[in-house]
Amino acid sequence: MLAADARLFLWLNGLVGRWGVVDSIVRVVATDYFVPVALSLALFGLWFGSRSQAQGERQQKAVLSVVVAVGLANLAIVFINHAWARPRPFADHGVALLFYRPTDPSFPSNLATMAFAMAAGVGLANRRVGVLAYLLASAAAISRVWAGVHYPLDVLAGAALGTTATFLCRGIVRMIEPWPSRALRLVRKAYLA
Amino acid sequence: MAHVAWQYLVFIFIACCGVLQAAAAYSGLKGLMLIPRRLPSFVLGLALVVGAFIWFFSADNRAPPAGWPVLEGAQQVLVFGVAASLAVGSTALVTSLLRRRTDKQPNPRQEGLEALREQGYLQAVSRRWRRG
Repeated sequence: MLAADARLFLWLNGLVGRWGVVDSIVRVVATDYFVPVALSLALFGLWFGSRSQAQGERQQKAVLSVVVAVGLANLAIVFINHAWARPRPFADHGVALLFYRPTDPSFPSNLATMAFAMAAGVGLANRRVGVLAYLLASAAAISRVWAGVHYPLDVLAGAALGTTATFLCRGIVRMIEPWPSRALRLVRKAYLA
Repeated sequence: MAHVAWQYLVFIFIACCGVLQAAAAYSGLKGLMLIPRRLPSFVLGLALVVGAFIWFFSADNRAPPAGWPVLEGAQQVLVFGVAASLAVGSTALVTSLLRRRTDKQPNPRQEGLEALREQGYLQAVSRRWRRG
Protein backbone atom coordinates (compact mmCIF):
# COMPACT_ATOMS: atom_id res chain seq x y z
CA MET A 1 0.00 0.00 0.00
CA LEU A 2 2.85 2.39 0.83
CA ALA A 3 4.41 1.70 -2.58
CA ALA A 4 1.14 2.55 -4.33
CA ASP A 5 0.87 5.65 -2.13
CA ALA A 6 4.36 6.75 -3.20
CA ARG A 7 3.55 6.08 -6.89
CA LEU A 8 0.39 8.18 -6.68
CA PHE A 9 2.36 10.93 -4.93
CA LEU A 10 5.07 10.93 -7.60
CA TRP A 11 2.46 11.10 -10.38
CA LEU A 12 0.63 14.05 -8.79
CA ASN A 13 3.80 15.90 -7.80
CA GLY A 14 5.13 15.26 -11.32
CA LEU A 15 2.47 17.67 -12.61
CA VAL A 16 4.26 20.60 -10.95
CA GLY A 17 5.54 23.04 -13.55
CA ARG A 18 3.03 22.08 -16.27
CA TRP A 19 0.49 24.81 -15.52
CA GLY A 20 1.90 27.89 -13.84
CA VAL A 21 -1.55 29.13 -12.78
CA VAL A 22 -2.30 25.87 -10.94
CA ASP A 23 1.07 26.01 -9.17
CA SER A 24 0.37 29.58 -8.07
CA ILE A 25 -3.06 28.60 -6.71
CA VAL A 26 -1.54 25.58 -4.93
CA ARG A 27 1.09 27.84 -3.30
CA VAL A 28 -1.73 29.85 -1.68
CA VAL A 29 -4.17 27.03 -0.88
CA ALA A 30 -1.44 24.81 0.63
CA THR A 31 -0.32 27.45 3.16
CA ASP A 32 -1.01 27.08 6.87
CA TYR A 33 -3.37 30.05 6.66
CA PHE A 34 -5.74 30.06 3.68
CA VAL A 35 -8.08 27.12 4.26
CA PRO A 36 -7.97 27.09 8.09
CA VAL A 37 -8.85 30.80 8.17
CA ALA A 38 -11.58 30.47 5.52
CA LEU A 39 -13.22 27.59 7.40
CA SER A 40 -12.82 29.27 10.81
CA LEU A 41 -14.52 32.35 9.38
CA ALA A 42 -17.34 30.16 8.06
CA LEU A 43 -17.83 28.75 11.56
CA PHE A 44 -17.64 32.25 13.05
CA GLY A 45 -20.33 33.37 10.60
CA LEU A 46 -22.53 30.39 11.37
CA TRP A 47 -22.37 31.26 15.08
CA PHE A 48 -23.82 34.72 14.41
CA GLY A 49 -25.83 34.16 11.23
CA SER A 50 -29.22 32.50 11.60
CA ARG A 51 -32.83 33.37 10.85
CA SER A 52 -34.30 31.86 14.04
CA GLN A 53 -33.18 30.96 17.53
CA ALA A 54 -33.63 27.23 16.85
CA GLN A 55 -31.45 27.40 13.74
CA GLY A 56 -28.92 29.48 15.64
CA GLU A 57 -28.76 26.99 18.49
CA ARG A 58 -28.23 24.07 16.09
CA GLN A 59 -25.40 25.94 14.36
CA GLN A 60 -23.79 27.02 17.61
CA LYS A 61 -23.79 23.44 18.90
CA ALA A 62 -22.08 22.37 15.67
CA VAL A 63 -19.42 25.05 16.26
CA LEU A 64 -18.93 23.82 19.84
CA SER A 65 -18.49 20.27 18.48
CA VAL A 66 -15.76 21.48 16.12
CA VAL A 67 -13.88 23.31 18.88
CA VAL A 68 -13.74 20.11 20.95
CA ALA A 69 -13.04 17.99 17.84
CA VAL A 70 -10.02 20.08 16.84
CA GLY A 71 -8.50 19.59 20.30
CA LEU A 72 -9.24 15.87 20.25
CA ALA A 73 -7.84 15.43 16.74
CA ASN A 74 -4.64 17.27 17.71
CA LEU A 75 -4.21 14.91 20.64
CA ALA A 76 -4.72 11.92 18.34
CA ILE A 77 -2.06 13.30 15.95
CA VAL A 78 0.46 13.49 18.81
CA PHE A 79 -0.14 9.80 19.64
CA ILE A 80 0.00 8.74 15.98
CA ASN A 81 3.27 10.64 15.46
CA HIS A 82 4.77 8.83 18.45
CA ALA A 83 3.71 5.48 17.01
CA TRP A 84 4.83 6.14 13.44
CA ALA A 85 7.01 9.09 12.42
CA ARG A 86 6.64 8.76 8.67
CA PRO A 87 9.30 10.79 6.83
CA ARG A 88 8.16 13.53 4.47
CA PRO A 89 8.14 12.67 0.75
CA PHE A 90 11.07 15.02 0.03
CA ALA A 91 13.22 12.97 2.42
CA ASP A 92 12.88 9.81 0.27
CA HIS A 93 12.16 11.01 -3.27
CA GLY A 94 13.23 13.62 -5.77
CA VAL A 95 10.40 16.10 -5.31
CA ALA A 96 9.33 19.33 -7.01
CA LEU A 97 8.72 21.34 -3.85
CA LEU A 98 6.34 24.34 -3.88
CA PHE A 99 6.46 24.78 -0.12
CA TYR A 100 8.92 25.03 2.76
CA ARG A 101 10.22 21.77 4.29
CA PRO A 102 8.14 21.00 7.39
CA THR A 103 10.04 19.18 10.14
CA ASP A 104 7.18 17.22 11.74
CA PRO A 105 6.14 13.69 10.61
CA SER A 106 4.18 13.33 7.40
CA PHE A 107 1.38 11.04 8.67
CA PRO A 108 -1.34 12.17 9.18
CA SER A 109 -1.59 15.61 7.57
CA ASN A 110 -2.31 18.25 10.25
CA LEU A 111 -3.85 20.60 7.72
CA ALA A 112 -6.18 17.95 6.26
CA THR A 113 -7.22 16.86 9.77
CA MET A 114 -8.11 20.40 10.87
CA ALA A 115 -9.70 21.33 7.54
CA PHE A 116 -11.95 18.26 7.47
CA ALA A 117 -12.86 18.61 11.16
CA MET A 118 -14.01 22.17 10.45
CA ALA A 119 -15.69 21.26 7.15
CA ALA A 120 -17.66 18.50 8.89
CA GLY A 121 -18.78 21.03 11.51
CA VAL A 122 -19.84 23.50 8.83
CA GLY A 123 -21.74 20.67 7.12
CA LEU A 124 -23.54 19.79 10.35
CA ALA A 125 -24.59 23.41 10.75
CA ASN A 126 -25.58 24.10 7.13
CA ARG A 127 -25.52 21.52 4.33
CA ARG A 128 -25.15 23.94 1.42
CA VAL A 129 -22.24 25.82 3.00
CA GLY A 130 -20.92 22.42 4.09
CA VAL A 131 -20.50 21.28 0.47
CA LEU A 132 -18.33 24.35 -0.19
CA ALA A 133 -16.39 23.69 3.02
CA TYR A 134 -15.68 20.07 2.01
CA LEU A 135 -14.53 21.29 -1.44
CA LEU A 136 -12.18 23.75 0.23
CA ALA A 137 -10.84 21.10 2.62
CA SER A 138 -10.31 18.72 -0.32
CA ALA A 139 -8.48 21.44 -2.22
CA ALA A 140 -6.18 21.95 0.77
CA ALA A 141 -5.51 18.20 1.00
CA ILE A 142 -4.75 17.77 -2.71
CA SER A 143 -2.63 20.92 -2.79
CA ARG A 144 -0.37 19.57 -0.03
CA VAL A 145 0.33 16.45 -2.10
CA TRP A 146 0.79 18.52 -5.27
CA ALA A 147 3.18 20.83 -3.39
CA GLY A 148 5.33 17.86 -2.36
CA VAL A 149 4.93 17.86 1.43
CA HIS A 150 2.49 14.94 1.95
CA TYR A 151 1.69 11.52 0.54
CA PRO A 152 -1.95 10.93 -0.50
CA LEU A 153 -2.39 8.48 2.39
CA ASP A 154 -1.39 11.24 4.86
CA VAL A 155 -4.16 13.55 3.72
CA LEU A 156 -6.72 10.72 3.44
CA ALA A 157 -5.95 9.69 7.02
CA GLY A 158 -6.18 13.33 8.11
CA ALA A 159 -9.54 13.72 6.38
CA ALA A 160 -10.89 10.58 8.06
CA LEU A 161 -9.50 11.59 11.46
CA GLY A 162 -10.87 15.14 11.31
CA THR A 163 -14.32 14.11 10.08
CA THR A 164 -14.58 11.30 12.63
CA ALA A 165 -13.52 13.61 15.47
CA THR A 166 -16.27 16.12 14.64
CA PHE A 167 -19.00 13.49 14.33
CA LEU A 168 -17.80 11.88 17.56
CA CYS A 169 -17.88 15.23 19.34
CA ARG A 170 -21.33 15.98 17.98
CA GLY A 171 -22.41 12.70 19.57
CA ILE A 172 -20.78 13.71 22.85
CA VAL A 173 -22.47 17.14 22.74
CA ARG A 174 -25.82 15.39 22.28
CA MET A 175 -25.04 12.88 25.01
CA ILE A 176 -24.21 15.51 27.64
CA GLU A 177 -27.41 17.52 27.05
CA PRO A 178 -28.71 19.70 28.69
CA TRP A 179 -25.24 21.11 29.54
CA PRO A 180 -24.45 22.53 26.07
CA SER A 181 -27.91 24.16 25.95
CA ARG A 182 -27.36 25.62 29.41
CA ALA A 183 -23.96 26.97 28.39
CA LEU A 184 -25.51 28.57 25.31
CA ARG A 185 -28.26 30.12 27.45
CA LEU A 186 -25.56 31.75 29.59
CA VAL A 187 -23.84 33.14 26.49
CA ARG A 188 -27.26 34.31 25.26
CA LYS A 189 -27.61 36.40 28.41
CA ALA A 190 -24.54 38.31 27.23
CA TYR A 191 -26.26 38.74 23.78
CA LEU A 192 -23.51 36.72 22.10
CA ALA A 193 -25.47 33.62 21.06
CA MET B 1 7.57 36.27 14.24
CA ALA B 2 6.02 39.39 15.77
CA HIS B 3 5.59 40.92 12.30
CA VAL B 4 3.70 37.86 11.01
CA ALA B 5 1.59 37.77 14.18
CA TRP B 6 0.59 41.42 13.77
CA GLN B 7 -0.27 40.94 10.11
CA TYR B 8 -2.31 37.85 11.01
CA LEU B 9 -4.11 39.74 13.80
CA VAL B 10 -5.06 42.59 11.46
CA PHE B 11 -6.10 40.12 8.75
CA ILE B 12 -8.39 38.16 11.10
CA PHE B 13 -9.77 41.32 12.72
CA ILE B 14 -10.85 42.81 9.38
CA ALA B 15 -12.15 39.48 8.06
CA CYS B 16 -14.16 38.85 11.25
CA CYS B 17 -15.64 42.37 11.07
CA GLY B 18 -16.68 41.53 7.50
CA VAL B 19 -18.18 38.17 8.47
CA LEU B 20 -20.11 39.87 11.29
CA GLN B 21 -21.59 42.39 8.84
CA ALA B 22 -22.58 39.66 6.40
CA ALA B 23 -24.02 37.46 9.17
CA ALA B 24 -25.93 40.38 10.73
CA ALA B 25 -27.36 41.29 7.33
CA TYR B 26 -28.41 37.66 6.67
CA SER B 27 -30.01 37.38 10.13
CA GLY B 28 -31.59 40.85 10.10
CA LEU B 29 -29.70 41.89 13.23
CA LYS B 30 -29.89 45.65 12.66
CA GLY B 31 -28.23 46.20 16.03
CA LEU B 32 -24.96 44.81 14.62
CA MET B 33 -25.13 46.38 11.15
CA LEU B 34 -22.90 49.37 10.34
CA ILE B 35 -25.24 50.31 7.48
CA PRO B 36 -28.95 50.12 8.38
CA ARG B 37 -29.88 48.24 5.17
CA ARG B 38 -29.30 44.55 4.63
CA LEU B 39 -27.94 44.32 1.08
CA PRO B 40 -25.32 47.09 1.47
CA SER B 41 -24.30 45.56 4.80
CA PHE B 42 -23.89 42.15 3.19
CA VAL B 43 -21.83 43.63 0.34
CA LEU B 44 -19.69 45.58 2.81
CA GLY B 45 -19.07 42.38 4.76
CA LEU B 46 -18.01 40.43 1.68
CA ALA B 47 -15.77 43.30 0.54
CA LEU B 48 -14.02 43.36 3.93
CA VAL B 49 -13.43 39.59 3.86
CA VAL B 50 -12.15 39.53 0.27
CA GLY B 51 -10.04 42.65 0.86
CA ALA B 52 -8.48 41.15 3.99
CA PHE B 53 -7.55 37.94 2.11
CA ILE B 54 -6.06 39.84 -0.83
CA TRP B 55 -4.02 42.10 1.45
CA PHE B 56 -2.70 39.28 3.66
CA PHE B 57 -1.67 36.98 0.83
CA SER B 58 -0.13 39.72 -1.31
CA ALA B 59 1.73 41.46 1.54
CA ASP B 60 4.28 38.63 2.04
CA ASN B 61 5.22 35.11 1.00
CA ARG B 62 3.01 32.89 3.20
CA ALA B 63 4.99 29.72 2.48
CA PRO B 64 8.49 31.02 3.19
CA PRO B 65 11.64 28.89 3.19
CA ALA B 66 12.59 26.90 6.30
CA GLY B 67 13.84 29.01 9.18
CA TRP B 68 11.65 31.99 8.31
CA PRO B 69 9.08 33.02 10.91
CA VAL B 70 5.67 31.34 10.63
CA LEU B 71 2.79 31.10 13.08
CA GLU B 72 2.42 27.62 14.56
CA GLY B 73 -1.05 26.12 14.94
CA ALA B 74 -1.51 26.98 18.62
CA GLN B 75 -0.31 30.55 18.01
CA GLN B 76 -2.79 30.88 15.15
CA VAL B 77 -5.65 29.72 17.39
CA LEU B 78 -4.65 32.22 20.07
CA VAL B 79 -4.33 35.18 17.71
CA PHE B 80 -7.57 34.21 15.95
CA GLY B 81 -9.38 34.21 19.30
CA VAL B 82 -8.00 37.63 20.25
CA ALA B 83 -8.77 39.16 16.83
CA ALA B 84 -12.30 37.67 16.68
CA SER B 85 -13.05 38.97 20.21
CA LEU B 86 -11.76 42.43 19.24
CA ALA B 87 -13.93 42.34 16.11
CA VAL B 88 -17.06 41.43 18.10
CA GLY B 89 -16.29 44.07 20.76
CA SER B 90 -15.55 46.89 18.36
CA THR B 91 -18.54 46.06 16.12
CA ALA B 92 -20.84 46.01 19.17
CA LEU B 93 -19.42 49.33 20.38
CA VAL B 94 -19.49 51.18 17.04
CA THR B 95 -22.95 49.94 16.03
CA SER B 96 -24.32 50.82 19.48
CA LEU B 97 -23.00 54.37 19.10
CA LEU B 98 -24.41 54.62 15.57
CA ARG B 99 -27.82 53.33 16.61
CA ARG B 100 -28.23 55.20 19.88
CA ARG B 101 -30.95 57.49 18.48
CA THR B 102 -32.58 55.36 15.82
CA ASP B 103 -34.09 52.64 17.98
CA LYS B 104 -37.56 51.30 17.48
CA GLN B 105 -39.08 49.91 20.65
CA PRO B 106 -37.54 46.44 20.94
CA ASN B 107 -39.54 43.34 21.81
CA PRO B 108 -38.72 42.74 25.50
CA ARG B 109 -39.29 38.98 25.07
CA GLN B 110 -36.41 38.57 22.63
CA GLU B 111 -33.20 37.34 24.18
CA GLY B 112 -29.65 36.69 23.00
CA LEU B 113 -28.73 37.78 19.48
CA GLU B 114 -32.47 38.01 18.65
CA ALA B 115 -32.62 41.04 20.95
CA LEU B 116 -30.26 42.87 18.58
CA ARG B 117 -32.82 42.95 15.76
CA GLU B 118 -34.00 46.45 16.69
CA GLN B 119 -31.45 47.74 19.20
CA GLY B 120 -27.70 48.06 19.60
CA TYR B 121 -25.64 45.87 21.88
CA LEU B 122 -25.10 48.49 24.59
CA GLN B 123 -28.79 49.47 24.47
CA ALA B 124 -29.76 45.82 25.03
CA VAL B 125 -27.34 45.51 27.94
CA SER B 126 -28.53 48.77 29.56
CA ARG B 127 -32.22 47.76 29.15
CA ARG B 128 -31.49 44.43 30.85
CA TRP B 129 -29.60 46.28 33.59
CA ARG B 130 -32.57 48.62 34.17
CA ARG B 131 -35.01 45.68 34.22
CA GLY B 132 -32.77 44.05 36.81
